[in-house]
Amino acid sequence: MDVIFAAFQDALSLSTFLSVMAGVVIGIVIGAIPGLNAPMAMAVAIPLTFTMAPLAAIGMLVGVMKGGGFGGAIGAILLNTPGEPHSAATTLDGHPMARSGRPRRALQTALYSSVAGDSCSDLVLILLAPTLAIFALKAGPVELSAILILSLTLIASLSGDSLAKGIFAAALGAFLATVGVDPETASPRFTFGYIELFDGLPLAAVAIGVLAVPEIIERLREGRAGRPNTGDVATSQGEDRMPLREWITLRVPVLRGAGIGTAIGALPGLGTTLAAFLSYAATKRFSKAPDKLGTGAPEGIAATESANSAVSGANLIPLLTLGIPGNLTAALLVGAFLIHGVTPGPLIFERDAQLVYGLFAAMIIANILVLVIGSLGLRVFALIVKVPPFVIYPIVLLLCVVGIYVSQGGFFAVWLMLGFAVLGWFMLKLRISVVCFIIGLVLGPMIELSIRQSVILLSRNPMAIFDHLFAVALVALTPFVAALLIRDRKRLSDG
Amino acid sequence: MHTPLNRPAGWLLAGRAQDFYLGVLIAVAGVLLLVWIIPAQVNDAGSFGLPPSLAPRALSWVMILCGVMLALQNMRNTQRAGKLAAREVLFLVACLGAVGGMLLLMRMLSDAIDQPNAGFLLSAPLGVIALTVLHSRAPLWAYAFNALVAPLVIVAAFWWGLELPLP
Repeated sequence: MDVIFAAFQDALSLSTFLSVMAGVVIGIVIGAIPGLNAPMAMAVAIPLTFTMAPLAAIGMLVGVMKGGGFGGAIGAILLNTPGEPHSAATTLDGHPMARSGRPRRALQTALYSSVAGDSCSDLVLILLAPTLAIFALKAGPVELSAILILSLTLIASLSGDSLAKGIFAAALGAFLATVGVDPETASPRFTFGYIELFDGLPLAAVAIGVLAVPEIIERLREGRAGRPNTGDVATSQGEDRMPLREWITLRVPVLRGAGIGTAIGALPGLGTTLAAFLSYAATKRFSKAPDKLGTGAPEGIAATESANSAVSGANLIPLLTLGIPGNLTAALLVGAFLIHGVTPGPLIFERDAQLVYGLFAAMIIANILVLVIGSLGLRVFALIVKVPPFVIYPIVLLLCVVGIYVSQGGFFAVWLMLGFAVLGWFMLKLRISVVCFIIGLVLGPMIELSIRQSVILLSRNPMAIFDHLFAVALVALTPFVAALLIRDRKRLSDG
Repeated sequence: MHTPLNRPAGWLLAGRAQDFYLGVLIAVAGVLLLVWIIPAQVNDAGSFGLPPSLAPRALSWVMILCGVMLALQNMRNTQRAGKLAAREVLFLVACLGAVGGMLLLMRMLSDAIDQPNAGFLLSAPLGVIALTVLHSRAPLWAYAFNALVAPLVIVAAFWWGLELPLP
């Protein structure tokens, strides 16, 4: 109990509070810019956290994640340009509502639903994760290897349009994770004589390179062909505030969305897009007036925003209990944990309990801040979509360069970032999942270590495999689960 | 059954499905890793447990299998999964060239002047102007803002705010 109090005190310290607040603002602002999204905002924010204390750094990234979730809805509602695939579900009712002269009401619906969905899933995370971690601690390297292989196969099966491309992306990420000094023999691998590579590839440079830079280059290229018409932004006359009474009537779609989002977020690989569209479909099915959905109904916005926001909290369940990131934002959070010397997994509740409970507190604070900052700054954030792209994208690209230079202390990492930008651009064009690549990169060392330990354990007594029937069952199930998922991939895919 | 292709101008990979060539490329890259890069870059001598090259070798085999699978799946498929046009690649090269040029100039000026932020303040405006030109025809105020205000704000934030020096 003392640890929990101390953790909440840490989270409420001025530096952590300001970091979370800065993260929320960065997330909302970057999320609101058409073409940019929460994972990109997180990738860009990682270098800023290098000099911070672990809780302040992770709290800031949590703030970015939560702020970015709401920020994405701003562009989707006002401009009909979703920054992420899941925001496409929000445009179905959000934009028609805004076009009918109620943009503020649409944004408020999105904000309140997003915060409600996020809070529900955070609550589930806080209640479930410590208990699940106790069970996870009983798993040895053999079980962990089996769980990691199953999770990675699950993610590869559901990402993109091809299993082969998904597995390739994960394998490439895991391969690149072997760059650096070998943990057993301390001999360098793939360092090509560069001392800067002895610690492995800098995650921030790789993440920004494959995630942010190719997207910015694509937005720059689109600028030559024409850009979203910011003159079409729906504007409010100030008469369309959302009354509390109306908000209360939306409790059913919000809670349903939160439930769907939490369930989907707890499983690795199933993404926010599936949660948003499933919640929307469920709301339409149970609605008394299903014809109204798609024409600017607040239920539609509430259902999608609560579901996609609920995914982010629940995604931390496999991350904190097993060390497995379920999606891109969770993978970037793992990177931030590792940068600050913390290894996610069941042991985190023993080794860094104060940090984990501090993280839970920071998540609650971030939710409150998204609500407060989002409500107060709704008018200002709505103006972000009007900032011309020829101002935004060159400056964001410059910020990527500066962020990497400062965080890594030299030009080497910046050149690496540019190299990975080329890889990321080709992956984008050839529809190779960047999500699988980043998750493979993050999980790579863990998979290598657990498989090595398993092989050493079993090489002395191969029959000992029968002491690990759970692991055997998981490995045996993996191809069947993959086959089932591939069959339904078109329906379940995150796009 | 192969269908005739209506080939738009600028395709880099045409004929068979793009994914077929991608599969072949992945498989060849996997083989190169196995026979050239891994033996040259990983030293297995002295390992008492499992060799350090085990994971890279296993992953190379996975890549080869994925490449072969992708190529076989798309051998008879003439539909293209993605768009990869020469002018898009040229645009990528131009953007990365602008950033790379800026970095080279930054390093050169930084070494020559040997003052914090000097290289950045002199080269960043040129890089940002190049990127703005690449985006579209922007009004004059946008060039002025991007080239002057943005670098100054960044220097102020990093140098005075976070006490982190730029080149």
